[in-house]
Amino acid sequence: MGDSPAGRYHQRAARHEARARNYRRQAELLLDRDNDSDCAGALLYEAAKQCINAIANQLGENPGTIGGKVNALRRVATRELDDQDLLRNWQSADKLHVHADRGNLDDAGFSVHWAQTQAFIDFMLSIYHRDA
Amino acid sequence: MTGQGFGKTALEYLDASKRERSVGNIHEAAALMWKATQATFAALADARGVRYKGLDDIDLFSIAVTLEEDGSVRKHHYRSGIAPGSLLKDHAEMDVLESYQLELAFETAEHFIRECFDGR
Repeated sequence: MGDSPAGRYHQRAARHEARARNYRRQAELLLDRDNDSDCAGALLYEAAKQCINAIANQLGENPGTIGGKVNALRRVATRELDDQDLLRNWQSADKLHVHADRGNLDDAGFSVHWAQTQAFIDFMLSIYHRDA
Repeated sequence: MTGQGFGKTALEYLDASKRERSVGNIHEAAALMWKATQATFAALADARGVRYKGLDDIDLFSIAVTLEEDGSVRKHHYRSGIAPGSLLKDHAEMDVLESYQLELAFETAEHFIRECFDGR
């Protein structure tokens, strides 16, 4: 593929996938080491976003804005046999993003949306590697 | 706590949410969709004899995990149903969502609730 448009998308997708794994690892470290749910949640949200970028690039798309990423995710969900769980779990990442700004989740609420965002990332990475 | 004790049924809350949204009362619609989500989990728990303490996110999570234990749905199916309604609760309280987020949250919350009641 090399320097062809497809090759460039492939390279971008790989970079986004690596960022997703790295952001997730850093988020887990922050939570374990510092118990800092605001920062950890913000990073896990970023990891989830990078997963969307990775798969969108893999499909030859460049979603850009957050609204564009959500539209890209809708197309991924449709492709995965109308997987509504994927669309719903993405919104746990949004919950963490709101928490990073407002600090509104208690420990129990945070643990729910942390777990569901992790499930989202796991599934998105499995799609990426299946199709890589 | 029981679903009956929670007042209106999930589908009544859902209809009320859609009415409010159709006349532009987005915050009220968002709050009602969260109540519809809570009532859905309460009804599911009651139907399966699952006990619960309250209807916060963590309580819904516990109900969902119990409901998924028998393997009749895939893991995370019910757990994933919490976020859209919960995100709408955030919007009702703090006005935090953009229009594309609201659209997705209303759409996926309704889809989950109707799916739980066999597409009604």
